[in-house]
Amino acid sequence: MDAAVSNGVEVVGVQGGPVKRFIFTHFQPAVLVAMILFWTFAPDSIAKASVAIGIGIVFKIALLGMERISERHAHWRLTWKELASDLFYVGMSYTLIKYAGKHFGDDAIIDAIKHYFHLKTAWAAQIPILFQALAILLIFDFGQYWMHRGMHNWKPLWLTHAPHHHITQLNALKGSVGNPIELFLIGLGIGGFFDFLPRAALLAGGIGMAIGAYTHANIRFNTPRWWSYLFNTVEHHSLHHSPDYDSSRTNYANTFIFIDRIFGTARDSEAVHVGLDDCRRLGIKEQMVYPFQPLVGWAKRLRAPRLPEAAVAAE
Amino acid sequence: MSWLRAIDWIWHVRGSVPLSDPYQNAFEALEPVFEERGTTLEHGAGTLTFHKDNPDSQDKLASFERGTLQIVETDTGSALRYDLTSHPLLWCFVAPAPFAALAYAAQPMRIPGYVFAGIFAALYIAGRFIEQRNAHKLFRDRLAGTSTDSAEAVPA
Repeated sequence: MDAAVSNGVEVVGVQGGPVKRFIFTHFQPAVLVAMILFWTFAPDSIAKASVAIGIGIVFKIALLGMERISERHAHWRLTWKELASDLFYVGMSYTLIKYAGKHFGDDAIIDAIKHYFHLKTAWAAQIPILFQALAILLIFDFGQYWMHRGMHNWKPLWLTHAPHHHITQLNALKGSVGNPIELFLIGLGIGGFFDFLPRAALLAGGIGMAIGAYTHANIRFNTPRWWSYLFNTVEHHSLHHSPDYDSSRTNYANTFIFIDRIFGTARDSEAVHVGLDDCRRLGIKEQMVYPFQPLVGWAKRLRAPRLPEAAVAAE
Repeated sequence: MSWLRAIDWIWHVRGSVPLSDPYQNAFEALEPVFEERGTTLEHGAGTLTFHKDNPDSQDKLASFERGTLQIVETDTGSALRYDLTSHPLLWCFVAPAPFAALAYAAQPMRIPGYVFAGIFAALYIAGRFIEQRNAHKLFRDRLAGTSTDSAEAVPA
């Protein structure tokens, strides 16, 4: 097997027989085609949000299984404790964060603006469904790119995003791991201004979910070059999670890495080690309180007993 | 408190491993197990206590933040007895309750709330079994000198 070198890492392709190599070469494009066909042609009785949630859960379980078949790094291997911790965040995403997004996030705000200004964009639903889905993905990913880039460049936002960068290994569930404030912010978008068909939103959501899961998965794929040029991959995203400061400021897009190429932040490489500083993981409690650290420090300083200034001066 | 003792099996893992060689220094044989970041050891009279502060993910005993190991005499000879404390097991045991409460209190979260309550109940049962088996196997193999499952080497 030929090996190349990327970012000082010896890059080895998928190990195993021809069937395994075939599957792990074409899996990502094949799922994309399957998603398009399913959400385009499924009858209305099936094409609904509950089915999309079910597909998402089954898909992530399948990827966790694939991590055992074509593992990327042994030191990223999922343990029981890591699984329990990750599932807590996944559970939060499907309950509290989703609820907050619907009632206090972009959906609620956009609905109010549209209602106030009597905005109607029924024409959006007349576009072919594949282009509707593409538009939803592009609009969301463009906003997500700048929100993510902002998080790496403005401390108040960084405080919400840094907990996600404290993960020390990647797996298919890690996209959900982070502070709830960050997960709420990164999910904001303006796609709701357009009255796209719900089916198109489900297709876009399915594609975004799949690519988001690949980028965090501990799976060694033989990713086709054309795919890596267009879409984000685990190679790109592992580099983004590198403890190296400069490397972590690359590859911000969630789905389309070509957005990074347009703005000059793409880097086609990968990292073996992921994490921040000395690569210590954060527990759930630390993840929750992390954005409030400056406030906590400030409050502690206020409450700390002060030495009389005169006594200090005399010493 | 006897009532606490009656329920602490939820977050405690206990067991014993027979020592084939009564003159073996069991604690010395187990020392490599505790050569992990964030682990500190306390030696007592016939006991070894470990504490783990934010252990790395691949630490074989990462689920346990404290444990006491003791050499005891039993009817069949010497044995290593262990008592390990796991907060992750405790939280996993408790986790179904808030998710079920969400499902009950907020109707839009009914299905995901109950689904995750079920997932954490299943995860607890699996973890209670897996973590006990892994810890027992780790101690047994180390004492037998057959361990091949030292912590996964992380490339430099």
